[in-house]
Amino acid sequence: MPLLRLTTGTFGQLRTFATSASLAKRVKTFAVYRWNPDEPDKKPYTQNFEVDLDDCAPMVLDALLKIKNEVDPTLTFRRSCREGVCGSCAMNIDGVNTLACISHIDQNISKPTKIYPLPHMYVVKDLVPDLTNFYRQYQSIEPWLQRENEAVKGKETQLLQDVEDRVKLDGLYECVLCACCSTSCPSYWWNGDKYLGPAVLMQAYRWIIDSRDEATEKRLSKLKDTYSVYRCHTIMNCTRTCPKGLNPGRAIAQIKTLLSGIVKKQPPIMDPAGLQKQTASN
Amino acid sequence: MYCSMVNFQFRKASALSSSITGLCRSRKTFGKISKFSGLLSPVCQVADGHAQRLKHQITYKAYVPPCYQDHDHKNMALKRPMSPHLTVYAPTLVAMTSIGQRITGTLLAAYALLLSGATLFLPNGIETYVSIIQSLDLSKTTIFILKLLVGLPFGFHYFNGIRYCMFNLGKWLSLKDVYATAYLTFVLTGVIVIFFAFL
Repeated sequence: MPLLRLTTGTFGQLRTFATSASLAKRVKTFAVYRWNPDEPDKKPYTQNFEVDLDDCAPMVLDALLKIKNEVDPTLTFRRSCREGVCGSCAMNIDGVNTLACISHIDQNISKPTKIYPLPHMYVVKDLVPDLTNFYRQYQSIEPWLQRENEAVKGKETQLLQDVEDRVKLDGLYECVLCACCSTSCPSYWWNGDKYLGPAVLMQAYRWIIDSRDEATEKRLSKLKDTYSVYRCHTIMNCTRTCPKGLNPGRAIAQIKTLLSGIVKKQPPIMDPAGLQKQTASN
Repeated sequence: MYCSMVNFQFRKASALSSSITGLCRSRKTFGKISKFSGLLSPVCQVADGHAQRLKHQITYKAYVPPCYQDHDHKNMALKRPMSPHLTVYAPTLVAMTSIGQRITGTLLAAYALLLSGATLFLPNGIETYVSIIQSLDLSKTTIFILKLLVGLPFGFHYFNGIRYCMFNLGKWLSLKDVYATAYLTFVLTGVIVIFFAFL
């Protein structure tokens, strides 16, 4: 017991030592793209920020927030969920498009981390791109379920879908529309106005192969022109960069097989209107 | 409209006279009331009454919807810069094999055009040109390297082309397969091109 009393207060001393600034700091440089719309004639530039990695949480978004809180509050970027599910913080980190909130800071302090906005996008401010074209393209593929006979309001029944048909949607529905893939595609860089891009095309495919959807002919016919799908040359930068591990390149290749006619959409294993017919007959 | 405001003033005057300091603090919101400053305590009188009247005149303009501009023009009008692309994007293996396919394809087309142009327009037969090259008396190593350089586009374009044909059929599209087949392409290209350079 007396021994224990000897050691009182030592933990506090240890803690003060361990967290003191006298210890060598691991300082990492972040080279961040800056542009201010209030001074539009000043050319965009790269600003270097120093961050002590020992005092910073592990992800790039944490470093950006630390810079914004402690060094420069004017640094502007989008962020929301901090866990890789919303797609807000998509940016180009060390040459590759990812979500900043799930991208670990490279612990090598001799090289700076380069942070740029998504490539070939108009810049609203600093790291914020203008995604209106991207959203307009997403809207153009009509990303909702379309059936021939809409259910009567108040008498909607569940649309049946077999487990195997549902498995076809795995790897497609998880897309968070962060635009990392589309902005990594050189084809989208050069033809972004008319080529839909991997993100939008993967969602188009998601609705085309949904067994409950009945507008397949209409959806495919909208994609038959030279630009919407066929600007894809299977560069596969999209799959390489997807922060959620999805495969837009494969989805586009499958759209192409459907468009050419060598593959046809299989009829649903379970009739989606099955329950509706059952309740109607009852 | 003015009559209703005057009535408002008469009703409010009694309530406001007891909270004069409050009124003075929020002079901006009670700006219109200052027009009728005669009704209230002189503390809140406005110096330049005429200017105030003009400032608080409401003018109604018809709603003009904004003129539609496409994405590019809208952003160019706002003088927004384009974010860097080729200068910042990392040279990923997938992108490099893809652009390599395009470059080697152009090279091969150039070879074909040059060869056909040469056979059409250059005088004498092929033997003269073979003997010219032989007379250069290049060392075996130089010839080997030259054959390698000329043969590399053929080999790479051929094996990468098979890889891309399989992509179009829907095969080898998972990221693991994409990378595995890329490395296989490099190995096969190296083997075949070195083999032919030796011949």
